[in-house]
Amino acid sequence: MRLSFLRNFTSTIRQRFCLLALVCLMAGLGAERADASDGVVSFRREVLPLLTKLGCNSGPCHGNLTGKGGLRLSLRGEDAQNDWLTLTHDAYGRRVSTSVPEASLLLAKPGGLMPHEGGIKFRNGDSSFRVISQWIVQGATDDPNQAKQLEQLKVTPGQVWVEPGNDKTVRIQVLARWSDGTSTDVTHLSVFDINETSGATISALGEFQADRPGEWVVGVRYLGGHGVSRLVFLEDNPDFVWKEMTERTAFDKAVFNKLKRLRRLPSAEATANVLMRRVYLDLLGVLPTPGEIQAYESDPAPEKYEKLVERLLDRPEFADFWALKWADLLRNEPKVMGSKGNWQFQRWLRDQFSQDVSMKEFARELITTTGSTWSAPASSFHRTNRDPATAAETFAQVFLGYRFQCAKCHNHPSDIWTQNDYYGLAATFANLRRKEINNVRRDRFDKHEVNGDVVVYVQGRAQMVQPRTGLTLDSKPPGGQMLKDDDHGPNAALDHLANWLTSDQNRQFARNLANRVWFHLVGRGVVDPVDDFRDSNPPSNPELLDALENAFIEGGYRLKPLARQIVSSTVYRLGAHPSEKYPATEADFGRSTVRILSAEVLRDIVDQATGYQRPNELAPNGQRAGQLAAANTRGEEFMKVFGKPERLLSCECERSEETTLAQAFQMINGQTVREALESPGNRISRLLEMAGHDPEAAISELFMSALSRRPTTTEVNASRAFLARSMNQRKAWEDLVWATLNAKEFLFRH
Amino acid sequence: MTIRDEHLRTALSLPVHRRHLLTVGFGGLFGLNLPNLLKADDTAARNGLAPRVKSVIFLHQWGGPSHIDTFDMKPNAPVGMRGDFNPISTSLPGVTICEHMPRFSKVLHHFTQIRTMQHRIKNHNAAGYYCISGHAPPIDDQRLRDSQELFPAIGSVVSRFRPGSDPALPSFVSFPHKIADGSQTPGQFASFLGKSYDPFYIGQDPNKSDFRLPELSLPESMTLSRLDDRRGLVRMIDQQARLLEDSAAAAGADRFQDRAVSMLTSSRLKNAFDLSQEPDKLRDAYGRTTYGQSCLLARRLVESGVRFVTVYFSRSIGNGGGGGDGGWDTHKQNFSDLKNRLMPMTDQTMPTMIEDMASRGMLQDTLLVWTGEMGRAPKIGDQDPQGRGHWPMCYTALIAGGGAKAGLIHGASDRTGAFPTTAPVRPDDLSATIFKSLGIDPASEMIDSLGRPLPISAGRPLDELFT
Repeated sequence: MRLSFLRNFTSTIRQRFCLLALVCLMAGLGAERADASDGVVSFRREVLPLLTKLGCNSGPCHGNLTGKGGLRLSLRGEDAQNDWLTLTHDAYGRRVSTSVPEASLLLAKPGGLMPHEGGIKFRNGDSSFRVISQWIVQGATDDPNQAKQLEQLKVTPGQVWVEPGNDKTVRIQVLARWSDGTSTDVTHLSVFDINETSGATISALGEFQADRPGEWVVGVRYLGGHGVSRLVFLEDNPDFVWKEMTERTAFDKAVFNKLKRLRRLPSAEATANVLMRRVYLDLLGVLPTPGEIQAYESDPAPEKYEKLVERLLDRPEFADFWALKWADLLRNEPKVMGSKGNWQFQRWLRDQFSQDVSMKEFARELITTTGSTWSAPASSFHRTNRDPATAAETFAQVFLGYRFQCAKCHNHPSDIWTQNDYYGLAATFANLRRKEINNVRRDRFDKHEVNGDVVVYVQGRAQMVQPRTGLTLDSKPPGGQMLKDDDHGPNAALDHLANWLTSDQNRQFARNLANRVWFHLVGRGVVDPVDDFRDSNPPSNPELLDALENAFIEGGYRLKPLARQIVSSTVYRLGAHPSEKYPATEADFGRSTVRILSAEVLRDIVDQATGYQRPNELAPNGQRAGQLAAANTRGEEFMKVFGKPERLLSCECERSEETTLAQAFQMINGQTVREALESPGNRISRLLEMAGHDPEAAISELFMSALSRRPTTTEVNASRAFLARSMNQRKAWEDLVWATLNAKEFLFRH
Repeated sequence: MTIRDEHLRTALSLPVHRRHLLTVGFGGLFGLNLPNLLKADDTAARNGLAPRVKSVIFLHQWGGPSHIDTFDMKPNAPVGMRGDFNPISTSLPGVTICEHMPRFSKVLHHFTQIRTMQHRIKNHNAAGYYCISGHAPPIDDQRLRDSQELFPAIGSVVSRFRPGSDPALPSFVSFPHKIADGSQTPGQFASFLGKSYDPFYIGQDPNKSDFRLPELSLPESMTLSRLDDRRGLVRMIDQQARLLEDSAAAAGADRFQDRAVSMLTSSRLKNAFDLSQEPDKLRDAYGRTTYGQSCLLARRLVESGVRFVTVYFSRSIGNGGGGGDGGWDTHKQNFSDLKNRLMPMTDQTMPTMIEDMASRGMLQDTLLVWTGEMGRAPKIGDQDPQGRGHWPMCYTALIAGGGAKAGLIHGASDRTGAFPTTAPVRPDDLSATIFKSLGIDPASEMIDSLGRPLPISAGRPLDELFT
């Protein structure tokens, strides 16, 4: 029946066609066919990848859940068999006509011969047109049982450094190696993604063109295979001479090696005061006091910085500060944790960092602990991650640096993760049960509120149904072995996952954590964003990431040895001011990263600089903002505006590092700053008193406490002049203090 | 054979012009040239994105206004459904409105009614999120939690894709409430777009005599000259450290500081918020209610150049029939609450607003949207015998201005107002329409916090509503 329709349709069409046109077209097709290397066009290896490359089956187009314009394809060709049926049999066979190929909608619409909302995708004569038309001419068959499977995708060049003066064009070639030992050039079928689209373009046939010197990474995908090509176009720095730098650590070697190749110069080392302020803020989240600064300044020991680092690592603020970072990631938030749960978990986290436990143990505890979240707070991991899917996503993101979320609904477009990986991991958490003890909700309609204790326990077998295939999956770590069939004890799946994660063979665990520590201390991950490890987002400096990983492992997977080594490195000590000639960038780690301080740190140092003690409701028992357990801001607009996360995501990205207008208003006129300035008992009373007999000492004290340095002559003179012409000295001092708080030096880590 | 041909034609749904195109198209293959016809088609599609309006005022009626008792009355529905009120005739021949909105009946010709709004979300927070973000919530949850996994407000997307032209003014302003049903309703802020696209939110009541903006009001102790002194001192210190030349982030923060100081010291923004500059008579006509004065403020802000203004009718959904504040959630005493509170307020404010905007010529370049997150159930009797329950399956939204066909009634509901009888319009379509009116392609993509490209709207713009 269907065939007769088709014939009928094509005959209608035929009548309306210029006969000559047909003859010519068919001749053209015939000629193209002769060109093809192996003759037969494969639906799965050529046509479908081509549709993916052209974007036909992408989310905004026909890959959408509801399709577009009546045609629905599987997202990026995940479901080849269905797509073949859709294209060849649905819509009364209009999409593909083997008897009159050129009448196929599959050619006519994207070929610009019929109106197509998605625009013109190819033209007659294009390689895309050739592939699709040949496939149709050859009978438009599917090839489900082909022996050939993709084994490897080889992208050449994998890496290339192009000297200045050369053509800024690189031809990328993609070779597919098949299971039968043969290889095919699939460049014209591969998708190319450039990591940064400014200044560079790439053609459909892999011709990369840069408009300026710079570094780009081209991600290549074809049929579920991935590869990258890293392209560096060097600047023309003819009189470049490397300035010798002290190499204190392997990190320095890695960073400087790259800078040498790029022919860029790092910044000079920062001054002692800048470095001191930086290391306090990065390790502890507080400022050095004027007394500490003076003592440091007058310390004659050559290795006084190293000694300072040792002292800081032993301070309790270190544990507070790193517990805060991990409480964000592990989502210690008040609604699901309850206030006691919050404090217990915070306390536990703090203890881990204060004892500097191995992160292997830390991760194992979080994954495998069950029981009461009040008496065994590590089980809170299973309290905040309330369903298997969320637990899988958090696990992948936090411990492995993988973003698994995409694979919930479809295979990850730019990574190797499939839906099977996703649900295999989620299955691990599928037999966890939670008993809520004494959960008295303030709002009975709010299912998200759990304010009593929760007892986490395991019941039944850890299994989950993969929704697309409908198959039941056993627990399987991503890239690891499936849990053995005979090993289904109560905690078997969790233990299996923890064993796999923390085994010495699992390099990704160490790489991810080392990268995160580097990110927190230096301001940017070697893989950036830190939780987006994938082939198509490679490390900006692979040698550096290897060095970090090794250092972390050698330090017994502990935080402090790695942190010590990072802040001791020359790279960490560099200034923010760029080199005069051939300056390195923040992304090269050739100069210090300038970034806005986090909400908690900023509020704490406002208080520290002004010598203000917040009232009890904002600072219970005198705790700093950085010590509080809960994520709520206690009504402090300041915290929200400066980006304190609500801890609803396991992503570092939830903490906003944006600078905004609202922040400027907060610093200028906000309650948090005003209270600190105007409180009668703050540092200003002391400064006023000092200024009575020694104004210069008072000004110096102010600069030391707020900016961790002595004032310059200009600053002393300007401040004195300002004070001299002011009627009200208290107000004048408030103005001076305000000015130090609003200086960028204060607001930014630099 | 004829039957077959007929069948074939419908089945293939090939309109004649398309076949014609096909022929012409293949003719063009010879010269490998694109037929002019197609070219024209293509250009037209792109031109469709020229902005129709400069600004949007989005009036959100929190709680779910009863469509059956207001704009889409069903006098012939059975007792127990049609309700207490009678329809009256309006300025639109053949179109009626509830008897308790007599002023509205005289201005109805300014509006385009969408009678077939529909979705399936029954809880306020989830439905409210759908309405103000234009994206269906992942779950129909009474306390849907806001997070970066949910979509931003329509206004936030607008300030991302088509910010206001005056840097001294915010692109997106919302007031006078943050809406909440138990917990705060998601979708009122910028979510993953980032804080720069949050609305400039004003939690003050414009109906109060001491209405002012805390951010823009300096305390008495802070004179302008003192602020100037302070800014001078910061500049002096900043010059010492050279951080501004070294870092774009620091320089950016400095520019924000400048902008904030200029907003504090300049009168432009303050004037826009200064309702006392409006004649008392007009203020009275808008209604001396939070809602009335908020609508007046919305008009003033749009006049001064704000791109997108959202006015929330009330902070909470309803009042349990008890009178006073609250929204449209009339589970109890639907009729008395509508008659005594909700409709009089609406009948006071909306006709004044539309006539005011029309007389100022603002309807040419402003799109006004009036909608709630759902309608009310046809069957009377819910929490009390006089209440109506939630009903997202069919409700009415109004739009006006920006080239919308004034007086058009789009679609129709069935005889009890329960379901659309013509193609339903989803909140996605309404958001797509708003985007398109502002010249933003609804298929534009934004990047979420995981780096995924997401379309700003999954809906279809309602082009048929516009001239």
